[in-house]
Amino acid sequence: MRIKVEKLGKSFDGKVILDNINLEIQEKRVSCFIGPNGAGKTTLLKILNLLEKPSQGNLYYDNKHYTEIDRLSLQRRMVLLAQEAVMFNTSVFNNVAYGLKARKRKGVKKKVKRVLEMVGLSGMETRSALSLSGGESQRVALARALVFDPEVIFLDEPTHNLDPISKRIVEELIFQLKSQFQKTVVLSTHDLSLAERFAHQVYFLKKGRIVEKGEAGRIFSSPSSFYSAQFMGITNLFQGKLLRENGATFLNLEKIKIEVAYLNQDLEIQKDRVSAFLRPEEILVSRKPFLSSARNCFQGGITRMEERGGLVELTVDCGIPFAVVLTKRSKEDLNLTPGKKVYLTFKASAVHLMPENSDIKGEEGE
Amino acid sequence: MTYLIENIHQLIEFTSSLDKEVLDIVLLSFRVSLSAVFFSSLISLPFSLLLALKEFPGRRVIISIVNSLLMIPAVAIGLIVYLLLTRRGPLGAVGLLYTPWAMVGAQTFLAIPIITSLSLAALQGVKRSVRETAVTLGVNLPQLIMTMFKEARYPLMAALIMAFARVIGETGMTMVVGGNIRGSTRVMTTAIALETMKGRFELAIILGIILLLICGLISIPLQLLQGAGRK
Repeated sequence: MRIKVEKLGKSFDGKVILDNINLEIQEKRVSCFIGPNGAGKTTLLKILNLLEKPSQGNLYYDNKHYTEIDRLSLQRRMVLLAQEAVMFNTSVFNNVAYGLKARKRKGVKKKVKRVLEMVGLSGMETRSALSLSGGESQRVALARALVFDPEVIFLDEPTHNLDPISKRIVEELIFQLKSQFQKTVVLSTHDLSLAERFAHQVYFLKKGRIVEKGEAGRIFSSPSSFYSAQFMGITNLFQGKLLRENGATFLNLEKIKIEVAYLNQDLEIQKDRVSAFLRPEEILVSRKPFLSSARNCFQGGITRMEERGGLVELTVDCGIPFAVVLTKRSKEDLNLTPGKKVYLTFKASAVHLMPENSDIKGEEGE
Repeated sequence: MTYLIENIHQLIEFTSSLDKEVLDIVLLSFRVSLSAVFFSSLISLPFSLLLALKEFPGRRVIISIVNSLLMIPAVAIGLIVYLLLTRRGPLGAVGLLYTPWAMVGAQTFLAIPIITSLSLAALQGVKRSVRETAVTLGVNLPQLIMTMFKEARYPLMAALIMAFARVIGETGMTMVVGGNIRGSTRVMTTAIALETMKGRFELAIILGIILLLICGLISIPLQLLQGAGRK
C-alpha cells in the first residue's frame, strides 16, 4: 500500500506537534523517521495508522483520501507496534491471537505457534502476558502484530530499551520483513545504526517538521543539513563564511581558516554562512609537520584522550577543537599523551560543505 | 466411609432443623438483592462505558451528579419509591407496593450510582494505550467494548460485589417499600430489626450471624479481585 501525506499538521491544546509534513511512503520499502524525543515521530505514526486524526492536511492510501475509505477495512491492512509493548491481561496465546480473532481468521492455533517460533518464544502460549519481561513483551507484541500478515507495519522505536537478545531478534525480524516478506515498513527511531542498516528512505524530524529527507545511502554518507549531521553525531561540525584568497577557497572560522575544495556553485562566497563537517578518521596525526598534497595542517595540543575498543578518540585544540580517531597502536607508536603538541593534516576535499539553511532545501528537494 | 455418611446425615438433619421461615427469609434476601444488582448493571454498565469512551458536553456534570447520588440516604430512595408506588401515586395502579418487586426497584436505584461510579473508575483504569493497541490490531466497536470489559474485569466484579453487599444490608428503605410482611417481603435485615424490637433474639441472632457470614465471605473474593486488579 502506498501512503501519501500532504501538508499534514497536528496540534493539541494549541501546541503544534506536526507542521506541514509532506511525504510518500513507497510500497515494499522501509521508510524511517529519525529525530529526538518530542520531534513528533510517534504522533505521525499514529496518524498514519488512523489512531489519531490530523488537524489539517490530507492523507491518501493508494491514492484514495482516507475519509473515502471504510476505516475498519483500512485499519485492518496496517498495524502499529507501540514503543512500549502493551499486553492484554490474559495469556500470551490470547494476546497473539487477538488480531486473528478480531478478523475471524481460521487456523489460529497453528499461526500463533509459528509466529511465536519466529520471535523465539515457543511454548509460552499459556504464560500470563503480564508476567513477561520487557523484552519478551515487545517480542510478543511484534508476534501479535505480524500474525495476521498486515500489508503495512509501523514500528515506533522497535528496539528502544531492549535487552541484547530481544534486540537481535527484533532486528532480525525487521530485516526479514524488508527482504523476505517485502512488507511496507515505516519505523521511527533515534538509533541511527538501525536506520542505516534497514531504511531505504529517511526523514529527519525536528520539532514537528521534516528538516531533511532522501535516500538513506545519500543522507548517511553526506548529510545536507547541519541539524541532521549534528544528530548523526558527526563531531567536527563547523559553521562560517567562505572567503577566497590567492585562488583558493577557505572556510573562515575566525580563529583558523580551513581550505576547502569549492565545488558547489550554489554557495555564494562571503554571503552565505555555510556548515561543514570533517570525519574524524580523515584527519592524520603526526608529531612533526610533513610535506604532502593535503592542503590543511594545524598545530594543537591534545586536550582529551579516550579509548574505545581498539580505537582512541582525541580532541585536539587548534584554536577550535578537532575530534580525531586513530588506532591504539598508532597512539602508542606516536607516544601520545594529553597535553602533547601534535599536527593535524587533512585534505581540502575531506571538508564536506553544506548550505547552512538546508532545512528548507531538504523539503524542496523532491 | 461411615464417618463421611455420618457427617452428611448430620448436615441434612441440621438443615431440616433450620426453621423453614429462616431459610425463606435468607433466600428472599438473595433473590431480591441479586435481582437488584442484575437490573442496575443493565443500566450502569453501558452508561459507564459511554461515560468512559465518549467525550460529550455535559459529561463532567453527569459524572458529578452520579458521584453525589452515592451520598443519598437510602431511606430517601425508599420514600421516593414509596410515593411512586403508593395507591394514589403515579405508578399506584400497578400494585407493586409491599411486594418483592418494590424492594428490587428501590435496591436497583440504590445500586445504580454505586455500580456506575465504580465501573467508570474501572473502565477509565483501562489505559488509552490498551485501547489503541486493540484498535491497531483491527477490532470493531463491539470487539473493542468486549476488550475494555475484559481488561477491567477485576475492578468491575468488585463493583458488583460492593453494590450487592450494600443493598443486601439495607434495612430502612427495604422496610418502607416492602413492608416486612411475613412470608412475602420479610428479608434478613428487616427480620432482624423486627425480632430485636420484639425481644425475640434467637432468630435475630441466627439471621445476624448469617448476614455477617455473607459479608465476610463476600469480602474474600473482593480482596482477591482488588489484589488481582492491581497487578
